[in-house]
Amino acid sequence: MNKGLSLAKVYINSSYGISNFVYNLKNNKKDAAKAIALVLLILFSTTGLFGMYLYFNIKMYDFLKQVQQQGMVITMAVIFASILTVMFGIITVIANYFFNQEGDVVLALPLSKKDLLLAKFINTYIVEAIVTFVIMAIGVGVYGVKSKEGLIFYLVSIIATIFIPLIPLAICYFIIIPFMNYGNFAKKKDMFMIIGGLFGIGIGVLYQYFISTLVNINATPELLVNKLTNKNGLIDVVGRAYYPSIWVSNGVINYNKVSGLLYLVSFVLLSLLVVYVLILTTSNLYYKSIIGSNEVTKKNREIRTSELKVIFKKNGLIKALFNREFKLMNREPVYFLNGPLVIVFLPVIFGIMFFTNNKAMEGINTLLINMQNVKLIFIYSIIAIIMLGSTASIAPTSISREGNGIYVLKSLPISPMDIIKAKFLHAALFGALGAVITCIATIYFKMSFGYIVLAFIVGNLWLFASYLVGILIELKWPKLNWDNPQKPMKQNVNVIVSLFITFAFAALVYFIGTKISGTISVILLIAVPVILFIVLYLFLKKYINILYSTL
Amino acid sequence: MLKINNLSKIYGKNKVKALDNINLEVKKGEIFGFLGPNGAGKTTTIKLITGILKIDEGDIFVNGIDVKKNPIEAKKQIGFVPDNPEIFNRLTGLEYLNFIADVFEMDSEKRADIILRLAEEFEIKSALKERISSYSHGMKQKLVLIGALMHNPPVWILDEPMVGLDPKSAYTLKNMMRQHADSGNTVFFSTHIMEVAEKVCDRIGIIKNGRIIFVGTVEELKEKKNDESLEKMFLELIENE
Repeated sequence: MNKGLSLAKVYINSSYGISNFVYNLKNNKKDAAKAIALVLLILFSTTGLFGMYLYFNIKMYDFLKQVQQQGMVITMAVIFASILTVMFGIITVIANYFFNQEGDVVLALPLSKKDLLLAKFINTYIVEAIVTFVIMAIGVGVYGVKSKEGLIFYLVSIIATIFIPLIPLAICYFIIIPFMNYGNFAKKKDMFMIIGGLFGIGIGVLYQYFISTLVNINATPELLVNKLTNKNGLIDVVGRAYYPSIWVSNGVINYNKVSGLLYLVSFVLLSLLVVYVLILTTSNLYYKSIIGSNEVTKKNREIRTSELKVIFKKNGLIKALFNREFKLMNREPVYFLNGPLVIVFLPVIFGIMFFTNNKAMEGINTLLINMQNVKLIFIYSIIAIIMLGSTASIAPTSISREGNGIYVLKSLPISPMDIIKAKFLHAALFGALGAVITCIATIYFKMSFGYIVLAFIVGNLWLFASYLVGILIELKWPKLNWDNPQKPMKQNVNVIVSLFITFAFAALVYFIGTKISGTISVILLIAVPVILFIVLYLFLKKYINILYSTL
Repeated sequence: MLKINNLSKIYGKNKVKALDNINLEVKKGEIFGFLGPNGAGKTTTIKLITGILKIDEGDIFVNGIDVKKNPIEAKKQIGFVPDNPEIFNRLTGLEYLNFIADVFEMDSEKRADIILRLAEEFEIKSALKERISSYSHGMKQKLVLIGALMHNPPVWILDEPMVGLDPKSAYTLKNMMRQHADSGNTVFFSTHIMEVAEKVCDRIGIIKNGRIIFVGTVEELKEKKNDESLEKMFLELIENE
């Protein structure tokens, strides 16, 4: 098992770049600061999400206190963390299967099958532990502060939290390992990644639905609590299906009683036992599923003479570059799921939220009664187009996604501006698709055709400027050294910076649209992005050769 | 023709001199082998010639065209094979080659003819419709080679081109290099394989710690070192210089 722990250490280091960060902290302060900034930005971007959860916990506590049931706040946190662990766990386990850092080198080492699985389990556990700690910190924090608990309560909570993700994560492995074996799925990486990604989006929809339901009953906390705690409510169902969640919450709440200690010890022992059983029973199956997962079946499709004209068709340079961009992005599931697919799915999620949330519908209907509000809907449509177009993150990942391929590109006789043009067009195509979807949705809000066309044009003009911002940031700070495609897409600070700038653009649109009246506002809505675009383009044109040569 | 004048390259904040005042001339009709231990500066030199890295000091001329002043025209003269053939894995072999053909503005008939012929010679024709990610290292190397050679560039710059090639393909490539040079073109390649350098190269250059320590024919080196094998001479040179 010691070897398993050593391997886990290597996995963790390579997944989260800990050694690199420690090295940078000593030798390269600038890179270390960047890494810290990225973590802070990610935390900042989730404050809204967890802020809402904190707010509900406080409300829940206050109401439950009246009926002496405030311990339910802890139970709720345990259940919520466990459910999230299962949901994220499935995605993380699948991702770990396919972005196997071990490659053939680790498989060739004299490591036991149990070591291999244990190391992978520990590596995935880290992500789940972080999520669990955040959720538990909110529940435990609210309960602890409000009940004026002492240090031991928090210490017991921390110990309990460490063990909470173990059973849910083991369940994920119990589900995924046989799946990978019997469905021959390990070899269908792309398909599996897309299914996993859609599953993730499904979780997003469910979460949004859950939150919007809570918002609906926000006015009366007793309704909310009833919904969670009544017979067949969330706590009841999960509590019955996953009884250990009740043990751990009883353990934390009654930390100063013998019964509490017994609950906690039972939970810890059970968690360890489940992991032990997982390692014992599935390591053979796990090994079988990773062996040969990189095998490739060769189809050997011959080129027929009749196809020659189609296959070897000559394209202009920009078209060739655009085709390359398009294929490289959309054939990589990680890019496709986090990029272009968002453009289509985000409106679907909003649609579901919108139609399931009666209050939102009422609000829109009230808005529609007063036809003067058409301008407001027009402004909102522009903002929606800007937000949707930027969520695909095509421009702010355009250079980083090239990875080592950038050196091949640089060796070819292509002007840097032509490469940028193709990248810009790629972003603009999907931005326009998002704009079309938004415009179709605005028909529901009875916006006139003229306004729809205007919203399409204005929204895209702002997006054009935002693409140039994204590309410039990428040219200056590209993330080219990566070993798996998650890094340039999901761990790229340029995406977040670019997103914040786009938010600023959206805020500016809102300001112009609401604070300035009449034709002047429309002129400004068109003129400002055009001027921005021209300035950014001239800047790009001036510095592109320097920026490109230093990539 | 390839001419390198007073070329230097400094890396990073610590100002590590990867190349130190290099001067080199490779003539038309010549195969030039570039030898040196790991980290000596071979790949850095090649990356500077092909415009991948920015030139800090000095000049490079490819067929008389200044790489610094006119990079695109200089690159049009070059067929380049990188040391790592990990390229555009999500494209198929055909898509990659068509992309390169579009960049070099090859017309449809010509590209079809050359791609199919070279693919046949390197025995990867039946895999061209498959994704590059499914290729073995050797197949990727062959694909990159075809991409570099198909537009018939006057100057070939090959970084460790034999790595991963099967004996037959290595033989084919060596013959192609000879034919290319004999037709009045230039071949510049780096290698670790002394036997290849000895048999194929008209002249060799040895680089150590960013400085050229020998340029000349293998015979000239042998004369200098009392007729020892190239391998032994190479080892002595990089240890003593």
